[in-house]
Amino acid sequence: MSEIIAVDSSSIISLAGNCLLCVFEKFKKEFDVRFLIGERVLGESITRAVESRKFRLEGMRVKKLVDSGIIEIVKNQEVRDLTAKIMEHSNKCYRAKNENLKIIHWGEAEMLAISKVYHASTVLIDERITRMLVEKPEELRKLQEERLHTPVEMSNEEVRAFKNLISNASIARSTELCAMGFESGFFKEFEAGIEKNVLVIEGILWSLKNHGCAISGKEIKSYVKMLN
Amino acid sequence: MQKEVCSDISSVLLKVIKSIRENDYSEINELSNHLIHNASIFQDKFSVETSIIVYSLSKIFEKNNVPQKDFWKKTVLILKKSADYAIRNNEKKFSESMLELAVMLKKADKDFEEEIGYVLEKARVSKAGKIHEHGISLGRVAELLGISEWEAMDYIGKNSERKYAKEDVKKRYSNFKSRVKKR
Repeated sequence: MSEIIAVDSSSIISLAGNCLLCVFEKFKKEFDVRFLIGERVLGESITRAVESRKFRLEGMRVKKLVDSGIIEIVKNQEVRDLTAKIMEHSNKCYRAKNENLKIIHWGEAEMLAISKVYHASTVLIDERITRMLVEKPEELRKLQEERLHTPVEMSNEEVRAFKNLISNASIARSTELCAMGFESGFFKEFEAGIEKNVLVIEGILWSLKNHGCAISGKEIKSYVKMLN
Repeated sequence: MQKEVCSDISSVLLKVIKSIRENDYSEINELSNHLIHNASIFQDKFSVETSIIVYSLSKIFEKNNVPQKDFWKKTVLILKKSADYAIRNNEKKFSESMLELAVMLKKADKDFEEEIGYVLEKARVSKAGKIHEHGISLGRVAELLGISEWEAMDYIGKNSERKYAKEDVKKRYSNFKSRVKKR
């Protein structure tokens, strides 16, 4: 049975912005995976992009991936219902000035719901707040407190309720996808004439970062060392 | 509007008027950031829109390229009105006066209108980036500011000051690799 990877629009956008959508197709050919997105991610990644002038071409490229089945759309009531519950609890995890902080969006919640309903092994998301909420909620609280210059309370009860609704899927970014692609030879075409092959993946990771993927310069250095 | 939001907006708008009179555009830019905390916490449209307008004013001021002689005089009058409506928590009148200012900004003249439109659009994306830095997700800030995630990601990647906690890259990567099998 294929491994399921639930995909957020942030990863699609990072890859599209770097003309790296081919990684989805190459990944699917090489590995036994299915990339799933929900209606909200579809709306953002394709509809919204195609309606604009600035991102229309990227939107059309994403549409091509969906039309060809490389990225699959899931639409079912179980996902919708779970998305609503995830939204309810995630947006009660933190409070500041007696106000619940609404920290995630329907598209991000939907991706988490898909990962649970379809038993995804991985969630692909480049946006860091949702990732922090899943992996390090206390660190997210500290970040908010530091930036908002006001005490931020975290409800352990709501965090537990939120975590019970989501799957144990690991979180990856477009950077991990491309790193694995690099090791599998997806970017051989760029290696000709380059002094060291690892410079190719370094360039790709920096481009992903510049297009909004939440990866630090230090992490990129670690990747270069690891993949050298 | 929350009481705190009302008083913060009013206070910021009065300070903007003072900065216009003192020709201090960098202070106006800084004042637009004062509203970001409330915009992040309360996620109210008033803090968000006021922050965008104030930031746009700082950019226009900076460029010093205003064709109308009485542009700043009119701006100060509207800001005074808006500050008054904010402190009285008159949401309807406040929204109307801010809209009046936004329309005035866009209608200056055709060439300027395009530039203003661009400034307002840039302001919206810039404020999305700021709110995201305060711990609100990309999708949520895009929704709040009325922009696409595409625009938000494009800006955040190039402009955002993001502090990162220590990450175990090796662990994340090997975790991902272990879950994906070759055909």
